[in-house]
Amino acid sequence: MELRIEGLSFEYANRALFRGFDLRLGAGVTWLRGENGAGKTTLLKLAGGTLTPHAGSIRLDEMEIHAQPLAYRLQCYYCGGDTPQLPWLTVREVLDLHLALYPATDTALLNAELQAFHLTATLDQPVTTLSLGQHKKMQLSLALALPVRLLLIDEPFNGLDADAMAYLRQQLSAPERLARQCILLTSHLDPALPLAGTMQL
Amino acid sequence: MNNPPYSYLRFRTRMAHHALLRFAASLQSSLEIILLGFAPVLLGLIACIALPGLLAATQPWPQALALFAGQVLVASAPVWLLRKRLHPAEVLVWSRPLPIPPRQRWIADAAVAGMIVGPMTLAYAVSTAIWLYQWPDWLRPAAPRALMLTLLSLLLAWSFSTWILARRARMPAARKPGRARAVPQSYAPSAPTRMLLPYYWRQLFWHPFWRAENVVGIQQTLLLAGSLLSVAVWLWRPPLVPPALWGACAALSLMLLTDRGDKAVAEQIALLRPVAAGWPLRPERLFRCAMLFSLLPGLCVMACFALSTLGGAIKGYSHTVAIVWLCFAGLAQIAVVSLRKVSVRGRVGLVIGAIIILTAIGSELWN
Repeated sequence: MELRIEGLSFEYANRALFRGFDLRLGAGVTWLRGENGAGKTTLLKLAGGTLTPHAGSIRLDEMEIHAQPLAYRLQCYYCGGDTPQLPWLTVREVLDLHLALYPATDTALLNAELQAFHLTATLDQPVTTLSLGQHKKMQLSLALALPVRLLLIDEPFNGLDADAMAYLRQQLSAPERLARQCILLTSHLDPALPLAGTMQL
Repeated sequence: MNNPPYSYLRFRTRMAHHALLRFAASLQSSLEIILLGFAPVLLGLIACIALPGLLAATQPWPQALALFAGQVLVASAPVWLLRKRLHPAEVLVWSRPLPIPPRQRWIADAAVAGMIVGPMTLAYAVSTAIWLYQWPDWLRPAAPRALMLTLLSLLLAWSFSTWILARRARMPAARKPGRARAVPQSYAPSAPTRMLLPYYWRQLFWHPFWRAENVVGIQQTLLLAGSLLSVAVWLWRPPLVPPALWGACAALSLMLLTDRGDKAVAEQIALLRPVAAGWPLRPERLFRCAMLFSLLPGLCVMACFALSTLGGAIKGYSHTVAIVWLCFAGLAQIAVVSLRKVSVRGRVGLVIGAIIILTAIGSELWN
């Protein structure tokens, strides 16, 4: 399994963030480092398809993000953002929506993640009533349960309590996960995970 | 009163000033066309605005009270309609914990209300002057009382507007949880596994319009009810009011129903587009469906009109005019939904033009 980014160019108004950027990542966890504004989140969004590059190609194995967008996105999940993207839904409805989008998801596994993060009691709450940590836990439950090959996690430890951090580290260190998933995460702190690589922007 | 630059009063009045400027800018395109087409009607309305208050002085007290209360409500309506702009929710949340004395809050609310009621008072003064200049027979014996009542209604409207703003700013009471619901113990998916398009539409284009502070659902329901009612009254032809007026109401509410619905869907699509870009889903298909669904309420009104006229339930009207009205209404609604790249001014022109043409066609229905 390989994420291959070649000749990537992307710029915001008056500021080129990536110009001819190349990256190759294999299975396992890669820690993406860089100061604020270096482009970590932008790179995750480009790899996740939520932003369109001005030039270059992004492939996951043989799937090219623009040539086979549905197949690519079905194998990819971007876990990021501290505010709810669909603020009118409840936690249950957000989970339902993702299960409809990723039909191969193992419901038992998702349930186990929700239990581990102590989120089942919040299922009928609107997502806007969740705390920062609870919102992150909801996103992480999906990230850990969806059957994707590419996992893009933006600041996974933001707002998490100590137990949740320990559980997340345990899940992201599981050998069978590391063998089947390419995980790209950003963190300002050392993630304390077995890393396949570190990338400085 | 000379206020230091950091005073709460100054902050509130500046915020209201900016809100009103933004509101005026958002209305610019519509106003240009409305003034062009309906300037004499608007002038007539301004001339008549003080009439109910003046008339109240000549009526027995139950009617006088109703007219007086109506005038107070009409003069307070602009503040009620603009309350969310004059004191936005995020500013309320931020400012509630600040140590601002209640007196300053009341003064600020009164000043902001005065920024709206003040210009309204000017319109009432112009209207009253016109009526005094006209000096009709019914006004002569009651003129001093009529002037007092008008003045009193404006003072009451100002107080009422201040109260509306103060009520909006008050700390909401802690809501007690409703009936104890069982805490979920586990998650069981409830999304369908087939026919996902209606499910996505419901989650992404129905729920958002009914939840939190979103009023689009209620607004569209009222417009739909108004359209159906206008069509029903138009075809029923009650005495006193000319049918053409109800035809104009039906055309106005029908076009507004589709226009407002389409605008809400377009805004929701703009909100969803970056989110849906990462989903394993063809969002354009869903967005097209949502745009087509925004035609449904208008089609429902047209179907009622078609059933009532072409179904033969009502006699004495022109079949040809009914068919022309239906065809033009259908075309106008399709144009509103499909011409997405037209400018704001062009869109307002399209909607107002369609209302005028539909009204003109509808006025021939009974001829």
